[in-house]
Amino acid sequence: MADLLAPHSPPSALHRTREALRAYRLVAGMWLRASLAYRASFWMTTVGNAATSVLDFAVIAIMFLHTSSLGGWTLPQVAFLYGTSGVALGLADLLVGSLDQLGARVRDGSVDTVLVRPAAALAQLSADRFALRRVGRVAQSGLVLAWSLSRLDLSWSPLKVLVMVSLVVCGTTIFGSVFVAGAAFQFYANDAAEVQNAFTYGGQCPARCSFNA
Amino acid sequence: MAQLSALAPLPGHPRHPFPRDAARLYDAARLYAAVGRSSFRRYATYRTATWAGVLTNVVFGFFIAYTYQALWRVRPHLGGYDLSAALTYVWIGQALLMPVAAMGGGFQDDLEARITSGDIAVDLYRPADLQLWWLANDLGRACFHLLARGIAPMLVGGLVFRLRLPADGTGPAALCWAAALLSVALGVVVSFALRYLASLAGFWMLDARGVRQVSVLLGMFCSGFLLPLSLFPPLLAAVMQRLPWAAMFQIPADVFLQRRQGAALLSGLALQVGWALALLGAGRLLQRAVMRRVVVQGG
Repeated sequence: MADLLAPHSPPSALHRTREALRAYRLVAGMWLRASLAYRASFWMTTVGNAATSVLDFAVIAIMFLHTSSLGGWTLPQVAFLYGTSGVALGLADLLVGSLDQLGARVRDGSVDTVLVRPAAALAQLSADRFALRRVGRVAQSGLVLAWSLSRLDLSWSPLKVLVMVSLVVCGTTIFGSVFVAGAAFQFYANDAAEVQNAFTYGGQCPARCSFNA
Repeated sequence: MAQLSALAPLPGHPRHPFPRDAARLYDAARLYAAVGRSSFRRYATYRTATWAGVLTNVVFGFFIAYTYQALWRVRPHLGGYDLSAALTYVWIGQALLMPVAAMGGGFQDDLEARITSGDIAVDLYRPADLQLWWLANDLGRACFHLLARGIAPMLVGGLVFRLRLPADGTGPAALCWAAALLSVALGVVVSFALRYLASLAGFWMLDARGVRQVSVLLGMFCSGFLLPLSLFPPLLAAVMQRLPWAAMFQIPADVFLQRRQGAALLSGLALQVGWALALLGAGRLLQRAVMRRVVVQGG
């Protein structure tokens, strides 16, 4: 009894981070098993996600059927831009993309359940309905990126490799942060999940602008 | 629900001076009009979200418009559009994206959730037709989105770019506006019919997301939202011009840009009506099959 009443030192930041990651892993794992329960739908959505991105790129390619350079950019250069941003956005979407359901959760009141559970709310909400099918987009963007690297005449140096790696890591972090900021905005504007698309999908190649699959 | 059930047809109700069948028709019309109105009000409730959505449309509009501008500067008159028509095409696209629900959604979210949860069993008992109920619901939503999400992006686009509005004198211009509105309405019905089919697939798959994604994908690509269909390789373009997705956006846009006039206008509208009837009919057949087979699991 005395123990319980004694003042606790608050858990360290490291400890809290580790706990949050654990909560994320558990919730994401649960949703992963749940999504595999509807197997036909799972494969259709995974292939659908990859196909969505393929068609995105097809639109760009069709534009380049009519011209060899657009605003001073060649197709491989645009493909490089598309590939790097696509991989970064795809990874961010895979990790925290579920946050865009926060508005709906605030509206129907189910966010209260999340807040009373003894686990980090951000971790729970990011892992909510974790969707492995979003890997489809990452894979497709990665293929386009690989193709562009093979077509671009680049003189590689250790520094350039470092830049490539940081492009993907920082890009994922930035897109992820925008997802979090967009979700936070939904506390003020329910149903406004779309607006962040202007800054995430909108920051992508123009052909992808109208997509939100 | 209490309000709606008060509208349910009462046999031989003395209020109506019509014969009994006409009275029932009148009651049904009132019921579906009430469903549409309440759907309109539901979407109108979230004002901040609406403005946020308008902002999104405007941002996307600028991205695509600048890309088109770069392309049309290199290739003027590409696909039969001049620069001004191409830019107008972009902004009509942003204006119609939500009304025709090119990315899916609208009633689909509600219907699919009801199928997955089993609440659909309650809907099947209602003295209203499932398809007409959701059609009325979706038309209410489309009216709101046309007003709220359609006008503002067009205005912003018109301030920055030189857009092409219906011209050639007052008469033809007025006719063009009327035909374009009719064409948009038909586009919404075709879009509804397609989404209804995709959602009913949920009865078999229990999770309609996959079907929905594939149908959204086809819709975005084949409707002309991403690029005018005339920019695609000729054979592909000719096929896509006749598919139902063209009825969602390509035809209304061409009507507005006065690329379809006279016989071409009539054939475009006829194609839309044809697809609307065919797809609504397919929806009814599927619905009948569902009614016979539906088993609600759980208590």
